[in-house]
Amino acid sequence: MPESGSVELIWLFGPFVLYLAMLVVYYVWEGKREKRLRERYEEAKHGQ
Amino acid sequence: MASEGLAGSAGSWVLGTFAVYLLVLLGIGLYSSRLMDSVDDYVIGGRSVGPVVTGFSERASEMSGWLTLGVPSDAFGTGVMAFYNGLGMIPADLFAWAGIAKRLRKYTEIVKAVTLPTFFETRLQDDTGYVKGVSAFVLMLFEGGYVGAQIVAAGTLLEVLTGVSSLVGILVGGVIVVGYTMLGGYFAVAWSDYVQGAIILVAFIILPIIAFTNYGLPFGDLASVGSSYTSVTAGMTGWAAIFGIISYAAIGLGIPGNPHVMVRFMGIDEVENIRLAALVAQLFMFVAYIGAGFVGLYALVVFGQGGIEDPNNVMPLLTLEFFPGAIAGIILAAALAAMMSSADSQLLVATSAIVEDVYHGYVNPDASQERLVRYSQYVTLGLGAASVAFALLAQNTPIYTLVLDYAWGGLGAAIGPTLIAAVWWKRVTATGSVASMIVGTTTMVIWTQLSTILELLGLMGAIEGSPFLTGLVGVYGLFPAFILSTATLIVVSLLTTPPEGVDDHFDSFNKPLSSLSSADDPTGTPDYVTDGGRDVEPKAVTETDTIRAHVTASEYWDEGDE
Repeated sequence: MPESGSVELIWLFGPFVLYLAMLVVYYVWEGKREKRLRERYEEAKHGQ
Repeated sequence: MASEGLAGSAGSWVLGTFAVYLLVLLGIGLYSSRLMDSVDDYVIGGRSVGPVVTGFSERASEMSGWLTLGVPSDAFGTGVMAFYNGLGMIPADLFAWAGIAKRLRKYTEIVKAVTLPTFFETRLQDDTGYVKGVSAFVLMLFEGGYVGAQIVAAGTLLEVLTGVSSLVGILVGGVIVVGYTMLGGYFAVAWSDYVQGAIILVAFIILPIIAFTNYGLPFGDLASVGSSYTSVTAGMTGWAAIFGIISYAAIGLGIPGNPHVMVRFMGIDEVENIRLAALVAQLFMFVAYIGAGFVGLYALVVFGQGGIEDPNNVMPLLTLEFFPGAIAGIILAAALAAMMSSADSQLLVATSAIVEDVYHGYVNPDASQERLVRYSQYVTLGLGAASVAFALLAQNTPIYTLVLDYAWGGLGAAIGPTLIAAVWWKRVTATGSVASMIVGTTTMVIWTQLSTILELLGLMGAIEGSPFLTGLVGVYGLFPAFILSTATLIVVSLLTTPPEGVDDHFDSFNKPLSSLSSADDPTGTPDYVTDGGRDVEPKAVTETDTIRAHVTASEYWDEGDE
């Protein structure tokens, strides 16, 4: 019986690992962006 | 009667659990009906649904019938390549959350739009009505077909499990979906999606785990069934493999054009919660795609190649194989219910296209909110009945084909390019958008039938001589349809005059909603009627007012005041 290694697991699940990394980057980056946006707006508001 | 189905004695558990579940759904529908005062409550839940429910329902609304029966069936037929169902979907969904969700949420609130056709009309400042009319027509056509596809899935599963005829299954499924959607609108739809999505997700985690403990990894056994089952290209090489992978990846192109997904972005309570909703939706996808793929592969190991007559039965049969009757019954009832969660969302979006875009937009711009909600309920009922009729006619078509070719693909090709352009490209025009919708729809329909057409014209012989042409003709139609639709949008837009003042509109995308409004509301958003009324007098001229002035100039609101 062929080994399970005969499936090119890298090609099969590699994209999913990459997508997971993209999700983490998005979540962290978007959080910082949102925070920066609000801080900038707050500063502008108080500066008036 | 229950003993006639595949579920055998578990059939009574399926029916029992399902009956209890229906009562819960009706309860959600009844409770939600008390919260509905206006058409925006009915269509987008008054923009008050939280991030976790939004994230779950964004996924459950379009994945359940397809995910529960379609993906395992695909894995059973093609092997490990079926994991590539997520190849385009997962990143496309992430890009939609990252690149479209916030912009759409902010902009539709500013311009008081609760449907995509209305959003297109206001953003493109189209006073001819063509953008709204064409997009509403495309949306009704394909979303109506989508409802039918989901009901076919639910009817089939009920018949398989309990022996109750598919006619009864389709009718019961249809009545329930239509009933609670009509009662509770978006609130009921989102909350039922949430509950159903959670149950189905648990099933797709537990099933592969149990199978793994019994059989270990399936890959070794699969190789003995056939080498193509362990090949990431299903044994294909050259152009056939390339077009095969493109076909899977192209499924993701449908996300921006499917209004029942976009409406989740519009209905979330706070813009800042979009990040969390995206996380929930994406994690759902990872687990669901991988779990559903493994279910199909383990079915191949357990039952053998050709061991299941109807591939739609892969998931139910594996569940019955691994779980004792009562638990299998509960899981399968949840799967059945999950399919309905897709139908309800699409039913609601199709309803909004008729009532909000066509009736309120063209026929009676002065209609009261009370009347709009009442008419929405009638239309939900009528559309639901039509979809059930369609489901009866199409019950022998595989769910995978029905959803991908006639609903998901049509919407993706027709609406997707315009939606992306509307929030990212200042130069897009109404004419370009209409041309793109027509080209996208036509290409999708023709491509699905291309082999038949070429056969009739006697050209198939020439095509079969070239691996490239054979692959191209067989590729998933959304790929060429999306490209042609996008090309048309760009070319025609560049040849026509864009709307004025778009820079102001785009400025709003990069600011918190609260900084755009002059209202004192804690969320920073004014307390207005979201579909055409203007009951807030601005205290100062703000960017919101500027954008609304452009909408006013397009005469969209001229007859819309109540």
